[in-house]
Amino acid sequence: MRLQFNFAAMKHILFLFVAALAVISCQKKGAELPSYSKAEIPGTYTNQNGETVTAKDYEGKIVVADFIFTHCPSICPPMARQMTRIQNEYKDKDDLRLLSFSIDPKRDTVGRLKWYSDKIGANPDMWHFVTAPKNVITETSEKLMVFQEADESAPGGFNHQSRFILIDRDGTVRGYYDGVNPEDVDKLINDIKKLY
Amino acid sequence: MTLKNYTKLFLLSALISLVALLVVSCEKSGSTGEVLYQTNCGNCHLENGKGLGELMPSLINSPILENDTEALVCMIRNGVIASNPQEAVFEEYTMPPNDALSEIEITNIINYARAQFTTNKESVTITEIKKSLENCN
Repeated sequence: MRLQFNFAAMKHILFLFVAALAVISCQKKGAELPSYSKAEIPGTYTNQNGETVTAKDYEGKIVVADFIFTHCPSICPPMARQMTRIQNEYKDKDDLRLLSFSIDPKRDTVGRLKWYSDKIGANPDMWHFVTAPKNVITETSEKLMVFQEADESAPGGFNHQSRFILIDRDGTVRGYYDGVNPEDVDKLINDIKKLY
Repeated sequence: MTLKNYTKLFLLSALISLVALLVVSCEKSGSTGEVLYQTNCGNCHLENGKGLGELMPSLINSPILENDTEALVCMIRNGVIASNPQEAVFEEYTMPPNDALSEIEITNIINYARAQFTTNKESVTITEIKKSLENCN
């Protein structure tokens, strides 16, 4: 009698254990991070390797995106420095992409982007510098909620935000960070870890 | 409490406040050379002098920073023009000119950066800097 009772109880416990395991495994990775809107990257871009890229190329990958230009004398060098920290921290991860959109398609040709990428020590497989017609870049920056505009009085001819955007494998924005603030980038590096 | 004691108490409080104010202001501002370096050079060469790849060269043990005051002064004042226009970052320059820096400011920057990022701890004088500036093209 006692043996039968224990067996029944054990069945219940086992059932609960399996159910809990199923719930935990179904939970989204990095569940503690906020989920913002889907990251829309419209249009077609060309990266520094001369390859055509679209949003499809980044599906199933973790992406950190920003908006830069290579003649930028003000916030871009510290932003690039912080991106380099992320590159070095996750150098062994083949499903992480750093994606720098150029806001200056006139001067940032594919050749110029390649030169810049090489000069700052970017790994071209992980860190893509991309260019597209101005209207495509404007649409993308609006979708990703990053301010940028041509302004002759601004250093280098453009005003832009130093935001880094973290996008998960499902294409959902999971965080916004200040790319010139090392403490904020520490948090980003830690948040990427939560998505693995 | 007598008036004399009040005066003593007031003077003591004033002295403590003054010392505290001096300590706080010194902590915040750092040395003149350091502040000037961070304002004028730190954006590209970075706070730690390590720079950014080959684009913004590292100043750590840089031979020009360490020993070549004449070349360094002219670089700071006139910038560095890109040998290939395709490789310019700041209009036609790879390093922008700094017309607004005074002779004493250049002296302070060099003395800070040299001591901080190289093994040469000898200071340059403003007279040496003035002379080097005169010799710049």
